[in-house]
Amino acid sequence: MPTDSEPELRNITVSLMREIRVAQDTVGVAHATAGLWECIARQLAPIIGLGGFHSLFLRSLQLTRASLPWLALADSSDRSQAQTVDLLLNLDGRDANEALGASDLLLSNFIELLVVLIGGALTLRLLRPLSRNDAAYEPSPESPE
Amino acid sequence: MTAKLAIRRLATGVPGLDEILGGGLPEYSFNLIAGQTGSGKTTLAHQLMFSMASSDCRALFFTVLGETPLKMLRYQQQFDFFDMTKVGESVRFVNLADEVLRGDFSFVLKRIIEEVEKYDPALVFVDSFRSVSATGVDNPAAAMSLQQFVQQLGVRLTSLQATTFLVGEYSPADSETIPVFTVADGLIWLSQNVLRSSMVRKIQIGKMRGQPMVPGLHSFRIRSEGVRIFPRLIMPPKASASPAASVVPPLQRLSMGIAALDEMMAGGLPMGHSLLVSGPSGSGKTQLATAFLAEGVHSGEAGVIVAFDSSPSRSPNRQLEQMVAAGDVGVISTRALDLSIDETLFDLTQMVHKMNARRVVIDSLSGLELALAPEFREDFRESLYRMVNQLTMHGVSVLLTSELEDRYTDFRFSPYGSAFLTDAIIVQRYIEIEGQIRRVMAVVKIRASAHSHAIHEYHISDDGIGIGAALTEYSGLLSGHPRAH
Repeated sequence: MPTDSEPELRNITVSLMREIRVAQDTVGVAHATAGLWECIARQLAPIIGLGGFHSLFLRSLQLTRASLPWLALADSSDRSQAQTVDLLLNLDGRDANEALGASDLLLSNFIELLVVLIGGALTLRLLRPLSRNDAAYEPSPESPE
Repeated sequence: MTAKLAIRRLATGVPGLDEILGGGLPEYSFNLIAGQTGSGKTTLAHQLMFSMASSDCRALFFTVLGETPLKMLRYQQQFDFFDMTKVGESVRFVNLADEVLRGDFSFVLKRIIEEVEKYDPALVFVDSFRSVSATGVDNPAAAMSLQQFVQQLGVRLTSLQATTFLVGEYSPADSETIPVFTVADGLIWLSQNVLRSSMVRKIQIGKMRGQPMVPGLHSFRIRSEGVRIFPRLIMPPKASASPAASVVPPLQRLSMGIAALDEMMAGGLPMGHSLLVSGPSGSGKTQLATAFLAEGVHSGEAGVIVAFDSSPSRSPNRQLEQMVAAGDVGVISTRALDLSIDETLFDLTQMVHKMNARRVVIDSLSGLELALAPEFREDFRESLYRMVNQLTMHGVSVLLTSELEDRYTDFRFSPYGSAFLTDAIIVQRYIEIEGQIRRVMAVVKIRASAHSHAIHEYHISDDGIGIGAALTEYSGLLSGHPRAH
């Protein structure tokens, strides 16, 4: 992210990861991560469409697999461009730290991709509300927290 | 309460647009920006939005299918008008793809109205409306027809006090069959035409209810700063003759900078007149034009030269170069091959106003014609007429040069039949006397003024043009076969 927006985007990443970091185990990380993506989708879909969000997410997943080939969506996750966001990662057999690292890398790749496509300044403007208002981040009720 | 409603007109912030709209956009109007793919519709819509949006005038931009929102944001921010600080503040994007894909206009209308009620924007954009229009076409179960949708959208958005812009890929043939054309208060057509490798963009205000727009096609360009329109000039009607107007004031003369030529012209060029200097290559047309500008500078009048043949800053004409360097003469120099007369005139009038110039030289008509996009060359004579009149009606004196091959079988002044456009004509010719090539010059006409009819020999030196005595001892000079009396 070689832009002027880089420091603040890093802060946003840290802020968004905060809820995931408090998860106690791999399952907790997976659900908290799914909640985060639901929240990001809610913020971006009105602007770029749910289809636009899905395609960015899947590309970020593909990029993350270059470092973590085992990373995939859980079978129950909806990979189509449907009306809902159900992006549960399959973290079976990974410990909490590995899961957390994967979640962090996936988010970083997503933000980096957004920066490449629409620039750091606009990315910042779109994601800032998520970090500025922590209430915006509401993990889904299914999250075991 | 007998006063008629005065509709507020919004300044669009798009250079040239308010002028052709007839003074801006009517507030709460329901407008369609139509044109083919690549004609600049989305760019114009974004420019309108970013120029007009403020904390008191919020804008909601609905994206649909067609250009994906990500790509739109990626590319549109390359333009200077894309103001990042307005995104999320006074400008908001909303994607309607999900509603459109449900195949029923009622969902689309519901979402648009919900968002408008929530955000309360003064400006609403829907891009692309053509994609929205396709929503219910294949769905017999759809609750709402396209006609009902367009009608309700127009009514609801006007009631919500929004000025609306629907953006769509339409061709003129669609205007007969698609309901939005009937419902719209304003219709802005954009087009791009390619002719012989040259691309010209044009804009036309098809209709704008309640105000007199400037009719016809206007050229425009899209540059990094966005859309700039060059309004087509329309000559104002001549004032009706009144007894007072019938008293012709004496013509104030401008010196040509060559005393003998002033004498031939009965004192010089009448102020606000146009002059065509016609002659073959190397006959000294540019030198004569330089003397004309230099004389203006000498008497405190700035000048402007439109140079199509060579840049005055690289010109071997030292005097012209010095005047340009000193800022006494402004230069418009171009080698572009896709200009319109209106664009040229726009640049020219800007410079004339900036420098308060009273003398303009267009060097040459051949260069100007070559610089125009091919489709404008067809209207060259008409365009030239508008251009010359626009300048002279503001009191600017214009000298045009025209290169003309010496033909001794006819007596023409320009290849464009443009001699009638100018108030005065000076012709330069090569003649052969006693085995030597010599140059001669004559004043052919000066409207409403006496002038010399003699043919004078002249010489060109480092000091400029020197005019000699009239060659009264010969006849047949212009036929190429002079005979001594």
